[in-house]
Amino acid sequence: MAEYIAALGFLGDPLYWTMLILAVVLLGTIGLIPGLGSTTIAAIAIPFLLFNFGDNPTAGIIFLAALGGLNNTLDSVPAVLLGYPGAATQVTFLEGHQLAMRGRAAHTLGAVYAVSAIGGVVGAVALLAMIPFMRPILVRFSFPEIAAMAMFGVLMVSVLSRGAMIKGVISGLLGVLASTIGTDGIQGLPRLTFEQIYLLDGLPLIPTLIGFFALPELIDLTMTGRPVSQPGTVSTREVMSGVRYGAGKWRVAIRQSMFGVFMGAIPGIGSAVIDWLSYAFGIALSKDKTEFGRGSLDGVLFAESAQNSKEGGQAIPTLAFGIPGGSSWAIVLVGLLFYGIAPGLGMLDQHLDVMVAIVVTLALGNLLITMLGMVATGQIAKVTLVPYPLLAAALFPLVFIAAFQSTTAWGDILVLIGAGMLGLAMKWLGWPRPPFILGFILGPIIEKNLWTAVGVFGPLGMLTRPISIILLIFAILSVIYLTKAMARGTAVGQIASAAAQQGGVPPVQGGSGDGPAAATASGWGRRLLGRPRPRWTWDSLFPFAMLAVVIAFLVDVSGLNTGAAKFLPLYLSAALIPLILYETFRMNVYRPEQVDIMDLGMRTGTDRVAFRAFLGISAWLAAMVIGGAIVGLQYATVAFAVLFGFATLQWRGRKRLWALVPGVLVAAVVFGVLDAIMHVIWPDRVILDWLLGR
Amino acid sequence: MRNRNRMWQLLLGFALTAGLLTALAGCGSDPTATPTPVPPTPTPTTAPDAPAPATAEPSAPATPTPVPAPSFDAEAHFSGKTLRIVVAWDPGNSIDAHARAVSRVLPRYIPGNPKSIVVNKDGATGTVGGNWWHENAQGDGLWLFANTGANPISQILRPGVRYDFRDYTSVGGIMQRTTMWIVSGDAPYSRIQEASGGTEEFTVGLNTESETGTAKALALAQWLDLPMRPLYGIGSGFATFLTTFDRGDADSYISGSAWYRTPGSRPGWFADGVVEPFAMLGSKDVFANNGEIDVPDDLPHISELLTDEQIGIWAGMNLEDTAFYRGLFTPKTIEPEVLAVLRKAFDDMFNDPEYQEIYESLVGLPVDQGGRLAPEVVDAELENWAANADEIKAVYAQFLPQ
Repeated sequence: MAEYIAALGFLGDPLYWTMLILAVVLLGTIGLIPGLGSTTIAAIAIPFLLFNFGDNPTAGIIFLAALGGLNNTLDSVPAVLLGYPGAATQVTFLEGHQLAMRGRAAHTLGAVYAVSAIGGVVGAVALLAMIPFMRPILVRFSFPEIAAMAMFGVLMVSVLSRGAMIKGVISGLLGVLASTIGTDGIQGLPRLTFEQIYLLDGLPLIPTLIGFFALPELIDLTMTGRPVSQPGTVSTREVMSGVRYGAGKWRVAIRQSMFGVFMGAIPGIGSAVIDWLSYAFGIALSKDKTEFGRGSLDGVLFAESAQNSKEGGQAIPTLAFGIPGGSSWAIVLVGLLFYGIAPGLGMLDQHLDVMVAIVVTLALGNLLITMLGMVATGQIAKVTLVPYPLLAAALFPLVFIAAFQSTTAWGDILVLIGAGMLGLAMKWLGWPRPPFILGFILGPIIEKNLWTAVGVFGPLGMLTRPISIILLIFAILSVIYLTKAMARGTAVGQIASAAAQQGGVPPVQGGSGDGPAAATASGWGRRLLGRPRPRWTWDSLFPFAMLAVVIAFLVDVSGLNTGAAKFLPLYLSAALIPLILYETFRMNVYRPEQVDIMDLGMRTGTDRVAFRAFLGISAWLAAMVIGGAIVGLQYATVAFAVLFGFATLQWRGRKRLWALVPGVLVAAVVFGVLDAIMHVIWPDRVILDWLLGR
Repeated sequence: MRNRNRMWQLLLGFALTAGLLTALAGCGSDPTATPTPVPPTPTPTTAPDAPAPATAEPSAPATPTPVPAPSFDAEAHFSGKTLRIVVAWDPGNSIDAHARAVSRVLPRYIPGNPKSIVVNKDGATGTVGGNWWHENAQGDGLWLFANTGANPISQILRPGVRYDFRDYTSVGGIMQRTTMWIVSGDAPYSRIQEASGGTEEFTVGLNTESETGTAKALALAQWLDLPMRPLYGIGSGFATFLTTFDRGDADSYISGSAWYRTPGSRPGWFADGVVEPFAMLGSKDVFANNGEIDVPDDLPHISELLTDEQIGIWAGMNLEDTAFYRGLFTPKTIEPEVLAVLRKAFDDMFNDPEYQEIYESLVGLPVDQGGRLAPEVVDAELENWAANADEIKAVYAQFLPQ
């Protein structure tokens, strides 16, 4: 114990506090500006730290650990306030943004800060306490176990799609299928790449993710022309009320945080899935499941507790075993090596000061960030009172810039647009998007671990390992339980939704449900056989498009010679075709009831007026992209921010000058940060080059 | 009336935007924009006494660099300019870390002290960045490519590669890979010569079937009659090495850094026989005591077990881990005196105490033991490799899925 107390000496070093506060302030900025990643900034900072604080590893490592481990609190702000989710805030967006639309943005964020602080502290304590015991557990999680957990994740989120579980399953499997584009992880053979180098690495996650979720939300919210919240709903008092609510849920927060620690400690699970798994875990343990998916604060807290605590969990394999628990901890690992510190079980003996400093930083930093959030959110949340088109004037360019940071190629923009169109179509037509994106993220984990498990342990190896067996049984039982529980929730939820709509809350869900599962057998048969009436609408034709895509996959992978590269897309396609055919048949012949799905529907409706508004916004976006190909994306985005603001802002007189603000903000990000500091390579002016014959 | 207002508003918006963009265009830097290119010049000649083609171990001590011509004003050439070090991998990658260290120190030794930035352009195992470099790099001394062994090899193996490394010249080789084949203490064999001709199967953890590392392992298994079963999908990198033996996923693993880094992360593994060196695959002179054990006397370097013909093929396949592993290249169109300045600065950089410190942290070895190569040696290997590219490609074709 005396050694631990002695190791706390760094707390008296002003440099420590400088680095910690610098990281917290940086994260405050990064968290609020979509498109800037803390991982990249940390990587760039490494040599700077080493050359300036080379004789003080604690200062450098602290900075990196803070950047990596504290980035899960303030990233909730754009998800809740602006409808702009990042990689790890999808649940927060799904539930929290609906709360913001009901005028509870400040309250929601206050609660998020409280459980995030609890989660951060739990994660930090767990890091120190569990290191000596984790090795025997972690070494038992090999390829079969990780594959089983990943499959469990996709299934769970598909099942959470309430009354549209078939659509949820199709969506999840399609996500896995989409993840197989690119070079496979076993044989290294290209699949569905159309001989494009860009596609050899598969569809990049960030453009796909923000195209699929953020772009449709931005379009929809812009179409409303209104602010997200109404006046009188945003104040620091509301934030504090949320903090009290979150703090009052400390038991739940600790439970979910422990779950997050455990998930984070298993290398290979991936950060983006932990919030979903924690959400599902929380739902399974909740008595009342009716509010989940419709703006449930508890749902947000389930995810956010785990999001912060998982950093402590991910630090365990990183520091104790030298195996990075996640991308941000991989940077910390590089930083450790730069400082000549070898991570491993010897850390506790040889570098106790560094170890204790990291633990204390995770705990203190979370508290500092929480305080920053509590102080600033009352003001920040006022952006929800700004007409959304003005916000969109800055957010649309930032979305495109964020996507472009993925590989700095035009392909990123094309993937963003493609994913955006698919996401909007699913949102418009009532197909749940979360299972798709979960499938997309977990697909490579499933494929590689499953196939490698077969190679290492034999074809039935998965069924001979105790933890795999337990996980599979647990998965099956959970799916059965949640299927029944969520089906019960749907019936109650329909009433709740109707009541909510009468109260003036915008309708946020929609879509045709599974129907037959809810109807009685006799009713089903009567409706099917008595009134077969094909309905050739976009809604009913959408599955045909899916079918065409799946068949294209099937044809492409059938041409591969060997098994490893084609086994997953082949069997997935084979499973998807009957499922989609069934759904197509049901949509066209059987008239399914409109039920809730686990996703946000169109706030502006789906009629011709909405479609025309959508075309108008699309034209603006097309002009930005084409303009980017002529004058350069960096200039086109700034021009868009200024022009779109002026064209859509209804304010008159001097207030109209507010339309300049998005332009200034985007210009600051583009030229001040990306250009001057990060030296981003901007895409070629392809149209100009083509016109000039270059 | 309303339409007219809207029109004026739009015009105002256009005017403001134009003003803003003009102002920004003046202050914003475009990393792709370059100063006036230097006219192309003849390629510097390869050192006449370069080592023998591919069959020889390509390690050699750093050699003196030509002194620039007195008439050349290096300070004027570099002063106020920006050096771009292009990395075809993402930030945080090992080569990125090397490039950022070089970016920090190298300008100190270039007259005029230019600014230096690292430009990351990753994708498709370095192909995207290599192509981008090929399309943008100028021979003015301000463009450097932080090379990994994958780039030249991709040129003969991967589709879509537009660059040709014969168009580039080396500024210097930073290091060679300390590749060691390591087995578990529980494996049926502890040395590769024991496994040769053996009947009891052992496994090796590999990444994918189509990687050059896989081809090399399969080639050795065939040449030495090893009872080896490849396990694909295990992964690559030092963290994977640790996981493999932590979990007992495979009996053996080929690692580029485990020999020196394992004692720090898993103290006692080598000393207690948890893992054992199976065979040296990297250049022989980069191996020494790893902090726990000496290189065992009975541990063979792989070249000691191969026939002359196999040694030649192996050296060609292994260039990605030796001469090509980590280094800086620049277009051959560079003026000889500019190249000389860069090479001298590169040499001087290795004497910088700060660089030495960071180098040792990254590589795990002192700079004089990391297998650093003189640019003439790298260029000679490149010429020779390019001349034998078809043969090397044919060998790979035997072991990689088509």
